[in-house]
Amino acid sequence: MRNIPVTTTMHYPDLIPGGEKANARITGMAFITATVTAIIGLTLYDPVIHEADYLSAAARHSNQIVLGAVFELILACANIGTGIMLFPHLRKVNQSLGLGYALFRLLEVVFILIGLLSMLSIVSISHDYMNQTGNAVVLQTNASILKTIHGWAFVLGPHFMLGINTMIYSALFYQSALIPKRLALLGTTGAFLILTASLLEMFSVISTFSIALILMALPIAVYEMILAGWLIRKGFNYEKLNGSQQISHC
Amino acid sequence: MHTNKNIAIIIGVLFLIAAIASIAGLLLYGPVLNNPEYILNGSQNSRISWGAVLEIITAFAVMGTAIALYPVLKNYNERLALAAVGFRLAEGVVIIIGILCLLTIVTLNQDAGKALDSNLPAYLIAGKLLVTFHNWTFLYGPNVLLGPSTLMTAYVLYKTKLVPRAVSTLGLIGGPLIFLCGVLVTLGLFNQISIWGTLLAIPVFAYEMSLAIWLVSKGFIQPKAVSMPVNNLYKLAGGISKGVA
Repeated sequence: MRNIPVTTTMHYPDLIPGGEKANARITGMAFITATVTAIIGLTLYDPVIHEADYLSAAARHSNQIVLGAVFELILACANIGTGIMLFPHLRKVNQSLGLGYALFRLLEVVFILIGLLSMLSIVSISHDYMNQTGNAVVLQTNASILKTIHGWAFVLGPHFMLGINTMIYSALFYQSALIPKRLALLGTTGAFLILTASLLEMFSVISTFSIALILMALPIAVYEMILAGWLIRKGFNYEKLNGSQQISHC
Repeated sequence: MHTNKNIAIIIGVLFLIAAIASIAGLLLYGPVLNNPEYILNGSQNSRISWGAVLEIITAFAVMGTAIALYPVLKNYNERLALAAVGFRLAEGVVIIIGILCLLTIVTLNQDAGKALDSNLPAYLIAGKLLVTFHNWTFLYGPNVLLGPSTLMTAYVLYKTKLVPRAVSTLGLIGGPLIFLCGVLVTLGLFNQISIWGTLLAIPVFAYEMSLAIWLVSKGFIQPKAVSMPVNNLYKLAGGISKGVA
């Protein structure tokens, strides 16, 4: 790495023809995909999350739960997408915080994957439960452990980690004015609310799938959708960024 | 040039370590994966622990391949390079979660000897649960999450011609296939350890091994700058010199 010439800011042409405009559109699409698949996944998980006898419900609706897991997998990929698509911009505002954002996105994905694995394991157990292989009470205990893990993974990933990573990138957006400052402010507010909500969940003040939580999660959901629409229609305000001569290359 | 060659060798060796350690780990795991009553009557705990050690080596090697490739790939496309690291890290984390499941069985196996007879069925089911969870991590780590990182890495290698296109094409095919394999297994169409599961995994395995052997023996291909038109030379000077430095 010692011999890097000074001219290395040159890059290959980017993956997507059309450069940054196309990249901004992909970023917006990634945000929308993430939100849509998250809602679909959670809806498909409903029999396990809300029914009292969720083990037999999981067995009856096993295809539905598995489909929910596939949607969560798409969610995980879209989330990594939002991480990497924003990174090159954020890096120019603040390299450490830019990388911090990408890593907290990744941690969110890891918790989503833990929840997904728990759900799939509940489906596996539910078949034993229906075929009566093994003690029913013990199977229920194990399933309730998995359900609890899924619940906590949901608190720590899509609430806690989401709050932190959204806080970071929205603050950098605010500082650099890459998007309208008012929109960035909505982002930091939404991030603060979801972060607070996750802490309240950990101390059992509010429950994970309750109305109170939906209300606290609403601003960040609205923010992500406005942001997505903004990126798709207008893209980033590059002229606000210092060193803008490099931007068209990455 | 010197540093260049070293990075290529490191990447190749990490790919080889990941492949060898994962196969050896799986073989060592045999008793706990195949005996549903291992948690009660299993007696090969040190073998399982060695399997766990090999799997942790796998996880580190897996993460290492992407981290070592990052400086090379990022000159072509920073986002794809970072995404490849991201998916590889996620794969490593999922592999580690699988290790924790089987190590928990080893711990419970030591406890089960002292347990009351009436509690033994609970141990059996807990053991089954942990193996089930491990098997899902084994599908999602080395299959599902391997797919995107393979595709992204192979795409950049294909575009830059840093390795022969025969090698990178294998990755372009193998990445999507191994991801598809994971989704189809999740949907219950066939088992991971089956003819279809193996067939869909062959291209990605062939890609990793041919890439590893190429990088260790030959390193990255240097562009033949002399014969380039000026315009291309200009691009290559920026991309490659940083990429392979």
